[in-house]
Amino acid sequence: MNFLNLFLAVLASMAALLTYQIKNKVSGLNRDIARIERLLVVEQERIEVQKAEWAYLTAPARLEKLAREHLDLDTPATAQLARVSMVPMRPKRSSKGTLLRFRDRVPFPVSRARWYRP
Amino acid sequence: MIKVMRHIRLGSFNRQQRIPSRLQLFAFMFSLMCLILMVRTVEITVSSRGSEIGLALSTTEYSPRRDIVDRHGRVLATSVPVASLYADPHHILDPLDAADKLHGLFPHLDKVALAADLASRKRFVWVERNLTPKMQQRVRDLFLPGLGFQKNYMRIYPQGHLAAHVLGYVGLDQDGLAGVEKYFDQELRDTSSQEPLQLSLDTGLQYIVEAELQHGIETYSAKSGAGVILDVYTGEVLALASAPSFDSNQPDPSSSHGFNHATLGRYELGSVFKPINTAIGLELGVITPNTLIDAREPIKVGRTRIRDYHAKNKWMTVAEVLTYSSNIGSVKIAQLFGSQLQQAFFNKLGLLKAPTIELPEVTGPDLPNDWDKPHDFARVSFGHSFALSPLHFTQAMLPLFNGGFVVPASLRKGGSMGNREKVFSIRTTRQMRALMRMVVLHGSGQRADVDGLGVIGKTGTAEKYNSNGRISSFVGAFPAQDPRFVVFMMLNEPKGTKETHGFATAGWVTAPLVRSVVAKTASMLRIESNFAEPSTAGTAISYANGGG
Repeated sequence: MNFLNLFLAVLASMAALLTYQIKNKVSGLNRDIARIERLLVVEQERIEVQKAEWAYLTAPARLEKLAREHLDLDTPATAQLARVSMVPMRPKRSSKGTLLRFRDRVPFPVSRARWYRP
Repeated sequence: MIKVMRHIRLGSFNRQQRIPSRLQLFAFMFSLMCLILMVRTVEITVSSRGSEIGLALSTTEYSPRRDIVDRHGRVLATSVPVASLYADPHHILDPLDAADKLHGLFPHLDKVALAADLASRKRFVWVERNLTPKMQQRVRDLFLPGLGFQKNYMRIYPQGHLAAHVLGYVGLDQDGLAGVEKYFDQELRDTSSQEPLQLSLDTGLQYIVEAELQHGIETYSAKSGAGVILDVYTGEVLALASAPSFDSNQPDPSSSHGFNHATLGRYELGSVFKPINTAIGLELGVITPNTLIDAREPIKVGRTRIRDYHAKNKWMTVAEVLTYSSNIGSVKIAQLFGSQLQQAFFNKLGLLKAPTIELPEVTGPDLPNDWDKPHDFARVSFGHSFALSPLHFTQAMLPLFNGGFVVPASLRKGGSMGNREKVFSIRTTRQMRALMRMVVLHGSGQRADVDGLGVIGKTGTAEKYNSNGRISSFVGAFPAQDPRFVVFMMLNEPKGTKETHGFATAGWVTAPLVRSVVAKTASMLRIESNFAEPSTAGTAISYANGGG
């Protein structure tokens, strides 16, 4: 009986110690979370500022001004735009390995092709 | 065990006889203190109260307002954290000295008023809002007690003037006071989600329209102007510009620059209205593109004589009436179906009530006084006596380009949902496309055409009845074979230049603006040039060519 009581007393105090340790650890972790959350807010705010900065730097008015100053380019005319599928393919070779005649290499639209070929 | 306990108890009982009562009291007090310490230890260990919260920032934090972005996610409005300086006059030791030092940093502050504030019995006084980090440090370096910073968010518009009339602006307390900021105020304040509010605007197209509008206003010394691009199928507003403009970062509510000419201004737009009347006639079957109309001489309606600006003095086909913008012909077409049907169609097209666009600055139309009387009815037929906003008009034109469906203009990406009423048949819209192509090919809109793309449209020059000026506008759509975008540009009181031979009519001043907008839009959206003029057989074009 004596031994049992002693054992229980030791067990109780060990449990108390353990609880205290866990509790201590948890509050330490909570502090970490709070710190990281604060850092997160700071980072998010930095991102907000960077986003605003990026939007300012890529504003069309600014880009146009820079392009005019530094690039020797102009707005493409509508006639200069085409689909990739409209670009001629690599010239095909005949069975003898020679290049086909020019008019056979350039794909014309069907309606116009009829016009050009004999 | 029990024996031992009894021993101790007996022992203590025995000792008690010998222990002086003072020592007894001391032991009792000591035990009590130990007990209190133990209870407190347990309390601190077990309860989490007072641990993290005490570490939080002492300044009040507000959640930022949600961002506003364009259809591609480009930021149009965002909130950045800044510090604002306040004072607690209770803790200010020397109000005069403090006011003097603060005035040194912020020279625009009124020193006397500030000193009075700092000497007052209040507990909270704003000194200066939205400080830069540098200024914040300089205030700290003053080492003045009683000053504090409150973190808050400042609304900034990184694109400056761009889309200022659409975005609007916010007040000191971050509440929306105009534009989308006001219309969506509740939604933007709701910080449960940090998803930005996405508008239908395209920053690139918005810039093109604004730049061209500004160019037009400067070149032709116009008072003001407006420009709109809508998607004909979804009603999405891709660009909405009003000039003169302002910077949303520094709004001046007292200035007239804040007035949105595109949605709040009402104008009699003139001949750009004629396609609507022609479409009504075609839809009702009272005319076809080659019906002949007698436009040999001006007509008298009520007390006024209606004449043509480019008078041809001959019988004209309906196609020619539109191409040469004949007022006489338009009135005669409208007379074939009458005022009641005209009003019914205007109602279906949404012309009789204000558009539902998501802006607080929206106006309904200014209707004619006696629409049933011949005089007003005749004037409405060529776009007079009926004033409305540029956006309202552009929205009403959509059914002519999209196969006949009424679509409300919307600033939300994706457009507004809901059933769409069909007002015009496919046949009517096809005929209207051909007719409006003729206006650009042979008529008053020739300066709006873009090589290889095909623009369809109509000019409109309206004399203002209360001044000598005029409203010059052009409504255009492209690509011609299957229009996707409708562009409307308007200049208020433009003046002719040497290049335009003194003319300030729509064909000279606004048609070139539309051409420029269309060409730049097409290259930005990579719209290829595969437009081939359709064979003229069976279309309205042949009627016009046949007639001259």
